[in-house]
Amino acid sequence: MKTRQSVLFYINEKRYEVFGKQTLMNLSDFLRYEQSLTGTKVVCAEGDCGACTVLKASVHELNRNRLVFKSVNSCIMPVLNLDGCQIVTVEGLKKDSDLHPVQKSMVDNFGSQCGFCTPGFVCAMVGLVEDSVLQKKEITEKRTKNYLTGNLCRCTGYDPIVKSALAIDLKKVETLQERYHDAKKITELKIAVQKDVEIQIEGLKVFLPTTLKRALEIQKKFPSTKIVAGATDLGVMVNKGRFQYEAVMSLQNIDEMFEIKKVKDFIVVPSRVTLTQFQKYLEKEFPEMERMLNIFASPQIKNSGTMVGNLVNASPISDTIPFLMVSDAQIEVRKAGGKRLIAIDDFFLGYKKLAIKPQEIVTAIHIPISKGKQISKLYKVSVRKDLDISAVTMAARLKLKGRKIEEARLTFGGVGPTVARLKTIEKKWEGKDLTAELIRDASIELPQLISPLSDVRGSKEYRLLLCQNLIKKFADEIFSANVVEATL
Amino acid sequence: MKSLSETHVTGESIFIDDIPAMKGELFVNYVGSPVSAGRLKKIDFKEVLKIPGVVGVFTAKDVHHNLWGTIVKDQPVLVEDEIGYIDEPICVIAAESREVLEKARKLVKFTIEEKKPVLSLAEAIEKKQFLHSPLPFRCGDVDAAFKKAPHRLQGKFEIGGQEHFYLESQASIVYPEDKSHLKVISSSQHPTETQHLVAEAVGLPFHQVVCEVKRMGGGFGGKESQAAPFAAMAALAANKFKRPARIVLSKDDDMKVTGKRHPFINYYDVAFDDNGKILGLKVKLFADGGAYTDLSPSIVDRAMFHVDGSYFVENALIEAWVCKTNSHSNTAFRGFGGPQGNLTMENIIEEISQYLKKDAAYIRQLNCYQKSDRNQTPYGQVVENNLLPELFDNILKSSDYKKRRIEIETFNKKARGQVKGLALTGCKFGISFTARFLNQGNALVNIHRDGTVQVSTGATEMGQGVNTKIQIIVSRAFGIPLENVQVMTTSTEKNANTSPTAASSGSDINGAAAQAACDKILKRLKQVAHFHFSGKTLKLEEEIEVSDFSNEQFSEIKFAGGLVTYKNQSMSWLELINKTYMNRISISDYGHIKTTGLAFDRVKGFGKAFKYFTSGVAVSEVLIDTYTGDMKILRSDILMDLGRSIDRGIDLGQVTGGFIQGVGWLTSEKLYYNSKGSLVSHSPTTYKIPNIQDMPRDFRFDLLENDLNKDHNILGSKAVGEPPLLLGASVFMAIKNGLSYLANKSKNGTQKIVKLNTPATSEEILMELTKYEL
Repeated sequence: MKTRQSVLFYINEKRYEVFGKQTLMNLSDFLRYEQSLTGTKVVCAEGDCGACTVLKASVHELNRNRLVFKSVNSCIMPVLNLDGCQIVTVEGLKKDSDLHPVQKSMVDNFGSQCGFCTPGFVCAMVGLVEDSVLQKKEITEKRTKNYLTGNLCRCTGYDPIVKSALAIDLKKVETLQERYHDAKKITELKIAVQKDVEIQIEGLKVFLPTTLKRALEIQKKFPSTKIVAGATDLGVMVNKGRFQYEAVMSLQNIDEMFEIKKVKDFIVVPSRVTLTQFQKYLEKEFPEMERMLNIFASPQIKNSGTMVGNLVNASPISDTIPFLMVSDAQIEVRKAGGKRLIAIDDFFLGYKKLAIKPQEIVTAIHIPISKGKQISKLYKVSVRKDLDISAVTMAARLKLKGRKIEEARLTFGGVGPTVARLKTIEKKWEGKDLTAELIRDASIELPQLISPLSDVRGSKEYRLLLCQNLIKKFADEIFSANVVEATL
Repeated sequence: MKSLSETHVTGESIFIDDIPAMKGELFVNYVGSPVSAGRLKKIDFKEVLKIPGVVGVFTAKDVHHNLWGTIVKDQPVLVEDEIGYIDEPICVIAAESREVLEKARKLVKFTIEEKKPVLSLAEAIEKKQFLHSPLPFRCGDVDAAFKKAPHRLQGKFEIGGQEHFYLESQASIVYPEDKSHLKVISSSQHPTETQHLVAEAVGLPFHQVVCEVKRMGGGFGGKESQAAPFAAMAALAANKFKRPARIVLSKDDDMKVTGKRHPFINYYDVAFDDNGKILGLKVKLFADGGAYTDLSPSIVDRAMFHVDGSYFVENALIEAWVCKTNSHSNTAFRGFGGPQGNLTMENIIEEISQYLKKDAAYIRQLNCYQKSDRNQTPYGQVVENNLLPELFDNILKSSDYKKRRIEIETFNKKARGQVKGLALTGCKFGISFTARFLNQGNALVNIHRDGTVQVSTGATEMGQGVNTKIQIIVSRAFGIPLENVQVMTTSTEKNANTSPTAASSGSDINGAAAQAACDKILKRLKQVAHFHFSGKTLKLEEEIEVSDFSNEQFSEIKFAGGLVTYKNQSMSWLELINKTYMNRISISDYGHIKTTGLAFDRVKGFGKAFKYFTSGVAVSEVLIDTYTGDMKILRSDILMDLGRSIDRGIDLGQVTGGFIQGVGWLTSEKLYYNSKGSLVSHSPTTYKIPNIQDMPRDFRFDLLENDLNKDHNILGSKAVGEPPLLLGASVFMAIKNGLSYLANKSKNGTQKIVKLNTPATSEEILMELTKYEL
């Protein structure tokens, strides 16, 4: 099968075939500097302010053969990841001379002051409207805030923006899904993404394989290839001058990696599963983690970023790793002609250092489905409650038999180079009857077991105190809220 | 902003970097100092010049007049010798592309004789390193008051700085035009200063430079003085190479290099009676000015003017100093020292209430400025048309204060791991520049033959809605539809010698100037209309003549709904405009106004410093997690006196926006510097402005509409930009109030006064909690 030397996508009505180095640009630069679509703004260039928000739909994630538009940060989205996608920017929302209902409501309700964050807010709010119509949900204050968590405004104090969202009449909305629907375009994109993309130019290599098999071959041939899924971390590193592209492979077009599956007693989360997909799945399986993901990141990041990406980024203050650790997750790693599972305990060797070999790719996370009576709790403390990197995280899971703790897991993030599992305390807990005192007493031992550092997110004294208090909070919460009684 | 925001929501509004780059345009940026203090010995940019696409490098030697400063010219555009702070611009590179520019910036090498910097305000105070020591304000007999007083509290209060975090970072494009002329497009609150600074930097007379400002993506004071030097950097390249030159800072660079809200360390000594009535006050305010003077003297003055808060203090001594440290030069930020002054007083009252074990709200009410007595500020100005007593009364009722206080007390008795707090705070913000000469404005109004109108003023639009307000003022003056009035790009070509859009005065000054220009035109239009309605005819050689009548003579001629009416006759606006033009009478004019009645003696520290005050009150309730220090705002109520609002929607937007910005300053926005003095929290990943989830869960706000200001300001309105920011203090005081329920159980058994510095982050709260027996 012949390969392609370009990526194919649509922006608003227009078809784009992009070749060579341009595939490595970030979308916001491509829009602003190459296409003069300057409605999309850039402020932080790290996906933390939402000014660059656009709507993206991928042919890999169709719903009844229709495109599903979701908000993403264009400043950290490499053009190569747009293959098989349609982008709608703020310029694509007006229909002839009529404002989109979101735009109209923002004008009517004073939702815009200086105007610099406005296009991003408008696009994020359109994301809310699209989902609301498709999922037949009302626009509530809570949902509005959740959909706009990734957008910063310095002028309005947000109240007029919330009012703008609440004033939208969903019955009068023509969704982008309807408006931009074109069966021929979908067929064209579908056919395109079945062909591998391989671009080699001026020492740069860009790969978008269509099968895992091909991806592993490429990784074998060029072991230093940077692998990207949603590219939300890589985009930041490129923008801040901490990474330069040489060889890059996107898993964007590998269809087999998009779906969460239940295999025996495990939930298998392959590498292309976004945090949004995962969060939706969690509603049933792990409600505690679902709650955590709600405040963990913005919709824009969750719509692009993947669960596996968050894992391999290996941040000691990651908000997903503690959950995976207390769940005894296993990491599926493959190379050409081989596959192995690594227990998550053995996966992190040091600060951002993973137990994988150059030719290997992390292909999935296997999470055991919890059985029997369990108590799980996840905590995150940060300067700002939402969309902020934690100062400290804690995860705990207790498996009970009667009142006895059969198995205990306890981890802390933000206290060392990797997320730390406190086996000393786990051992102490196991085999004993669960009491508030037992749990609370562990806080006394903590200073001997962890030694956090001081940095921008908190002093070491504060972090240690937080860890101790989180243990107390855990004890108090499970007893005062009768979690224990309900579990028994 | 309603009428002008349509292009915002479609993405059609043009900001600086949205302007397409011309062929041949240069991209410009500075390279900053790697150290906080030292002497610059050598700049090596040989490697830079080798890179293809680098066009030139500029150093201090290339700047015609290198020192700038609004008040004192002590800050270099580019470092010559002495380094003032880390990241301070040392040289400027011009390149043909953004990529080349970024590459080149990393290759400049500096030889620096490093010195030990002074990085903390405390150290600067100890070493008496002052940039400015203003004369104090004194009133009454402080010593006698302290002698008589039954109670006395002393304390120290540290107030953190704040990054503006305007979304559009500093940006400018300079276009060389014929001969040596330069056109500067800037994201600036002060086009006139930008014009002057650019001219001085490249060595041109002022008439060779024009500065234009269409709009800013936020300003908040950060583009009052500090937009200009970046425009000057681009101008160096544009002037030398005769090519357009653009500078656009990244958010990270912008946050590192530009000044912030001044951090303060304040000492207070307060005397009061058993009821909490303040009898005497002594405060010493120490502001961190950073490396250079910038606007600090005026900012510290305003802190002194606002240390009384909303409360009458009969006997006071207010002293202040601007300290010099090796940090970015701190600058204007919404409130301009006022918030730090006001917060100090609110903090004092909160502590008095904890000491006396009385509800702070009633102590505030007791001390609040009254109408006929107890109404003179420590600097001798009488608070006129004072609605503070009503504001306090009304909000106590509308917020259900009494009932909620009881509920909170009950909650706090039972709750484990959580505590609630409730507080009421006020603000009384002085409106006028304290530098008298700045209280003037000018406007140009041009009526066109189709009846539409263009108006130009010195006001710059940064989201605060000044253009909409001016549009409303002009459309009302002529009785024509809003859409027939266009507010034009601010340009020093049309409006020269303008004041910065600052001090909340943008609409007051420029709106009044626009009204003055309209009045001059109206005077002529009315005479033409009067002639028309009189039915007189003209001979061939005759034309209608206008003279300098007063407007009152024709007060029966009305302009409304696109019609001009006189008794039972009428004509259309369009007809009148054309009749006037055809009679060779000007349908354009220029207005100039000044704020009258200001009489403040800075030496005596006495007199009328402000035209009027904008006041408001807020009640906030918070919930604190005592395990983690996490804080949530459960409810905030705000009530403000804005006179007769010109546009309610715009004004309420300023109220909510200012309030939340104030809350951010006092709770989550922590500037974190490393041991070298470098700002570590230089992006939204680490510097946390409030996001949508940080809004009060229940947010209520209202205006106490009235006509008391109608003889003092345009259309009876009041300035609104800065005052609501001060009300963010209600959240901080609610935190202190909440913690006071736990401080009862302090480790040595005595009632402890809650001590918090700002910002009250989770860490600040949790560390305070460790002092109590929980």
